[in-house]
Amino acid sequence: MKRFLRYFRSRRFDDDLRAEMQAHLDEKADELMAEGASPRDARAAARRRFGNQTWLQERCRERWSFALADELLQDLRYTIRMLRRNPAFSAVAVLSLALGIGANSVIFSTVDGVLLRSLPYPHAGRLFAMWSRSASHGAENMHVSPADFYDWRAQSHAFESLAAYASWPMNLTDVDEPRRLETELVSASLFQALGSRAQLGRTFAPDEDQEQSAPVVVISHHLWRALGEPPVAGHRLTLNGSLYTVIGVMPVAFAFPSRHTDAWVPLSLDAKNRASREGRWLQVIGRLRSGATPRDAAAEMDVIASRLAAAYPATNAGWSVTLVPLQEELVGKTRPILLTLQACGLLLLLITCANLANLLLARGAARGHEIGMRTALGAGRARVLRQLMVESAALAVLGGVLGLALASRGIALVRTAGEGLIPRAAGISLSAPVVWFALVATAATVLIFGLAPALHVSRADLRAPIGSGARGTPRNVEHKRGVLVAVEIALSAVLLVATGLLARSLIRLLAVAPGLRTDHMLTMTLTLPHAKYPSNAAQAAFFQQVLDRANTLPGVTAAAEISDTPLEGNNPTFEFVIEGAVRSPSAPPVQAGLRVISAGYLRAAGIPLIRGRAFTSGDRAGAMPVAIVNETMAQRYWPSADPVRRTLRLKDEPHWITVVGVVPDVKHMGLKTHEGPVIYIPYAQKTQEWLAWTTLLLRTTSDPLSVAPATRAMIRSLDRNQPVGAIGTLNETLNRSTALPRFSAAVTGAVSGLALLIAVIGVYGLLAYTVAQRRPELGIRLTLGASPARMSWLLLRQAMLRSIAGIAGGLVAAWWLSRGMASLLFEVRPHDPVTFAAVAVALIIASLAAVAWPVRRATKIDPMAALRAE
Amino acid sequence: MAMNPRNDLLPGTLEMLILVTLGQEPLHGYVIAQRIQQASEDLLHIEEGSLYPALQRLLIEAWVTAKWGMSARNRRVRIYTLTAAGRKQLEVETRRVGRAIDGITRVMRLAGA
Repeated sequence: MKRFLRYFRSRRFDDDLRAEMQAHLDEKADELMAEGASPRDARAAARRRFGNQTWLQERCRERWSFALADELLQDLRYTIRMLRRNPAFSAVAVLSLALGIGANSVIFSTVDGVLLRSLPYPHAGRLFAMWSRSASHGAENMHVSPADFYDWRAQSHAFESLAAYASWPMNLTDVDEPRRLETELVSASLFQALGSRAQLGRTFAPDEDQEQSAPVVVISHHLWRALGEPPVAGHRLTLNGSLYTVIGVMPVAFAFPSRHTDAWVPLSLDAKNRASREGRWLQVIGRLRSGATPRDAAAEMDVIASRLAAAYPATNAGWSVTLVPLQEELVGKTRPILLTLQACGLLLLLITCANLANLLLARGAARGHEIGMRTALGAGRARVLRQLMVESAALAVLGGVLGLALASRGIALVRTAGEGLIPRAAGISLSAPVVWFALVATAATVLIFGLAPALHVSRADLRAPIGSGARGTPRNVEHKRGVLVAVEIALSAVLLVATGLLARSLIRLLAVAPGLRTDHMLTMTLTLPHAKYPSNAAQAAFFQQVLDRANTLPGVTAAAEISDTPLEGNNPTFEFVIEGAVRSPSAPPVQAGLRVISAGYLRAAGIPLIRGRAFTSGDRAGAMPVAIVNETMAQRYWPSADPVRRTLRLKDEPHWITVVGVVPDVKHMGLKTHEGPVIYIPYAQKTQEWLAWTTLLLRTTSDPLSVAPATRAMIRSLDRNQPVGAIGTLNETLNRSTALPRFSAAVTGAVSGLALLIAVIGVYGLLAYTVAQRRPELGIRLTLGASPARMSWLLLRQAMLRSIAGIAGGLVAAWWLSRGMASLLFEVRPHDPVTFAAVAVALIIASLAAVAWPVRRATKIDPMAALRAE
Repeated sequence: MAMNPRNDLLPGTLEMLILVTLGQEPLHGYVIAQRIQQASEDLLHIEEGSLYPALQRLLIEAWVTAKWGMSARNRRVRIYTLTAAGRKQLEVETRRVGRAIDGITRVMRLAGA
């Protein structure tokens, strides 16, 4: 038909028709002239007998157009009839297609939005994060000291600009409700390096981060709206008790370093801090000069680092620089899980296609009779093929549309569920590339599952089915379906292994004891402004006041404070000197995490003492400085002795601290991480003036959050301008730390559950089909005395051999693929034998369950009835 | 001028007449027209040109194929050939028409004369 269509569309059609009609007229005229008419009369008579040539040509054209339109309509009508006559088939086909396409679109949108789409900065590929690295300190991605940053900036040529930033929460006061702002201290060059402009006002001028510069602030769009959208010019904010002039508002989309950042304040360091190489606390990004390669830059930074190491061996010996593309830095950790999910989605789509091909093959075989009939009645092979294609296309289009609808719902879900879980989650959307992907997936599916059975059916001997009634069973259909079912089983096996590994590692993760009691625990953070609480004494006094008042709140059984929230805490480490320890100069220095706690912290958090005593109210400023160490610290530095009554000191401080107790390790930075050696000191004896913050922990009798308003009010009654931040519960923190593993296990679980269901239906469907097709033969065997048991065994063996082949293939593929998941797993190896064995057993049991019913039915065949039906 | 060439004919009759004509040998349009006129002894008054829309229908149904050739007068013409499907259709049509005429004849006999 296509050939005709092309012919009809061509100009040749009209030319041919005209030439043909002209030839007719000429023939007629010749004949009339032979009969004696004059040429003129002959031509006139010929035309008269012929009729209106133009009108006739139009009729000829019409015939073709009508035929074409008619046939398409027929196909469509026929398709709708077929789909409605087999509602179960249509529903299964469309739904599984929709789920396959929908799941893939959601996952692909996520991968696209998070991993592929470049960051919203001009020439974002030229942006790099820069880290300090020292193998001997075990520091991989360490922050950068201010002096190093300024030296890098002065000496580097490969970078067009370098910028530093550090998270520095500040308190916003002199507003209705004081609040804690997520503020970043940034070098004035930050916005220039990113290439971002303010939406209102301006960003920092190059010299606005000097020590004497007037205090200015750039605010985020959401803070600007929260403040009531004030005019930018001359607006002032009180931050940590000082006045700052607002100079600019960033656009909504600007989110550096995070979406939660409220404001940017210049990093105005005094001369002493500027020259410091001790504390590494700045994060650094650089923009490559156009034309410079990352290799040039890395080589240059190596030279600069070794120059600094030679000049300042005490602080810089052994330190080098790592460059990481900024996009990689922001989303790199999410890559393995997203790619794993993407792979699962593609496997699901493959299973869906196999399943549909399977369904269509079965239906094609069942329709052999009908197709044979249509061919006998004169339908061309091309016509039958096209009809089958129209049917497949209709299924694919329905599935695709439904799939996209599902996808848009799913993407909304990922956006909300992924908030805080996946970086850049807010940027995920059903965008053009995703629509294209769905369309390509749909088209590919049509080709895979539509054309293959269509070719198969129309290639089959079309006369055979008519002769044998409706029961023509091309043996090779069964064989093909057998292969498809085995493939479905194999793909399910791969998915189940992925799910099994993630689930087992999640179980391991959830079984990790956090080392402290997390139930009924309210947490909130307090950051004191230095201007108002400049000294350690003033800070400690305020924190103690808060504790005293909190202990009297109704519903609170214990109150405590710690410098970093447990379970997602930072772990600032410091160098220590241990008294009496003889260490070789080449040995790495003693580094330990430092946590400042209130006297009642250990009891309130449920951390038991292994040795010695807890802090008491007697451990005040001026009394003997005391510390408690964790077990790792004790074992590492006093392996053969009791650490209690031993002394140590911070490297840069003169006074010695006496260890008074030992406590077990706590999962301070999250369930997956060991906290390493840790030293606890009491707030009352804190010597770090910069450490002006605390996390307040309240153990409550009922829902912890119900106590939050009273606690807030209590703190405001102590200091009207003191905001609190990050109100939550310790259980929420714990859940957050396992949210991503739970999310991935749930998604792969759902995907593989669906795949398993499809595969089981495939196994069942094929055997049920075989039994139905072989009913007469089975009936004869029973009549001739075959035992039902032996017959069941034969059928069972046939079906199970297929499943076992599928399982074996799937496990081999999974063995090869699961290595890619290593970084997602926790205390489970990618080749975990338990998971592989469990998947094999589960699939064997599922296959047995799927074949049980058809096998039973085969043994129940009434031989006489089966034979009569022939 | 009444333009509907089928005014005098039952629908599909012209197509059937063409099939019958081509059943004997492949022919070009002008000869088909002549044969039909002669065979029906000019009973059927049709415009010769109305042959062509009917031929399109047969082409669409793939009952005939057409290819360019030479007429007896050495003129370039399209020659139509019956296909296997066309032959099958001719049988079906012949049976159908035969039955119809049988029926009509019987009714006519009953009615009268």
